[in-house]
Amino acid sequence: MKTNKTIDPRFSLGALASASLIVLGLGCATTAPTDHLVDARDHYDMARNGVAQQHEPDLVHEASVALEKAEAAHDRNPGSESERHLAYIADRKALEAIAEGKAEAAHEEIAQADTMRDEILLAQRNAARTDAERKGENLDRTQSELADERQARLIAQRELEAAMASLKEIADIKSEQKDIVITLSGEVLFETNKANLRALAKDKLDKVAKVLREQGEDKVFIVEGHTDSRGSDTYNEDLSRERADAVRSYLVDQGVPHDRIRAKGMGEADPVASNDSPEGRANNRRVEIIVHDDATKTASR
Amino acid sequence: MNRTLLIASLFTGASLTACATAPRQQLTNAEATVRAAEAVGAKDEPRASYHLKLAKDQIEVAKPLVEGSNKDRKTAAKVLDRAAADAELALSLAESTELQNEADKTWNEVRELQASR
Repeated sequence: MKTNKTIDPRFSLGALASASLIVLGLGCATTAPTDHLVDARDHYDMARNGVAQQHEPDLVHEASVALEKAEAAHDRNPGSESERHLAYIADRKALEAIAEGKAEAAHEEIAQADTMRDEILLAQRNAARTDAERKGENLDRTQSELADERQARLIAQRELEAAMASLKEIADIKSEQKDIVITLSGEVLFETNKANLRALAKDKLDKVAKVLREQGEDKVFIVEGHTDSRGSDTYNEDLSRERADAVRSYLVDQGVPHDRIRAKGMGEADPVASNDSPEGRANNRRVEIIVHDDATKTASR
Repeated sequence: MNRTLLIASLFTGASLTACATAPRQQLTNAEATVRAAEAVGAKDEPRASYHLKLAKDQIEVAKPLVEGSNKDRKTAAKVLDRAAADAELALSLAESTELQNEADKTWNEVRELQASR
């Protein structure tokens, strides 16, 4: 059916102007990205062009995937709740990649500085020894050798004490009979339900490795992974074994002799606290590194 | 009950269970990450502390929704996604700061040793 309406031209012009304004207004409001999306884009660019890409490309990729989802939500429905939500996540992921990249760079710096410090200390020690030898030329040789040996033992003892003191700041250390048990929190070492070491975990394990390297050759080491009681026995055993393996591999990479260290997944079998409270469960999720001085007893642990 | 109906009801049951457990598991994971962030000193680093607070606030918002209706659980899942993202970020920021401080401390030791040569 045809309609023939007469439209008042004034109304028509007014309506057109108003409609244009509304359309323009709506256009601006709906096509502009949300603040979260703007931030996510900026932070992703920083991640892609900085240390994050160099040290944590996987996390940068995760941030990229998250940003793509947010962009798709923006294309579908600009300014929507979905865009806001996805951009929020993407922004955090980009920032996380940047922070983890910086953490990994700092970890490398610490290793470099540690090496340089050890080299200076070694050079100073050698210089002191040469000096002592020159001064003691008239001394009886056996006496001089004994003094050297005592000095070397003293230095080794002092280094072990310093490494232990540094380790005590970040781990719980207990003596059980002849064993030393070094306990590290599972949550600090690993991401939830994963066996990937966090950057900070590597720094803590560097300190553990230093102590283990200073131990005599008669010592062996057992890395035990423990979980809380949630999840199936099989899952917990697998996760605790994978985590113990990850710690062992890292310690071996840091110079702990591979034939003197082994890994065991204990699952939920050996809790140190009740699994009924969140705090108790957090205490049960842990990695223990046991320094043991008798290989035959080690097997029966 | 015929076989098709049995399979359909089992499937529905499994789906409902999965829906119910997903936000609960997300809540547990987000809380664990918050604790880990606190353990590495997120409260002492301003940016980490800001994201830690966002994570905790969102966890509190999600808690009563986790056991609620289907719609509540969907909302909880989204809020907990954001809480987890903030908690992970707080942890990474705290880690990064701690490692940078440690690096600065070690370089200072190196400089002192070099000066004493």
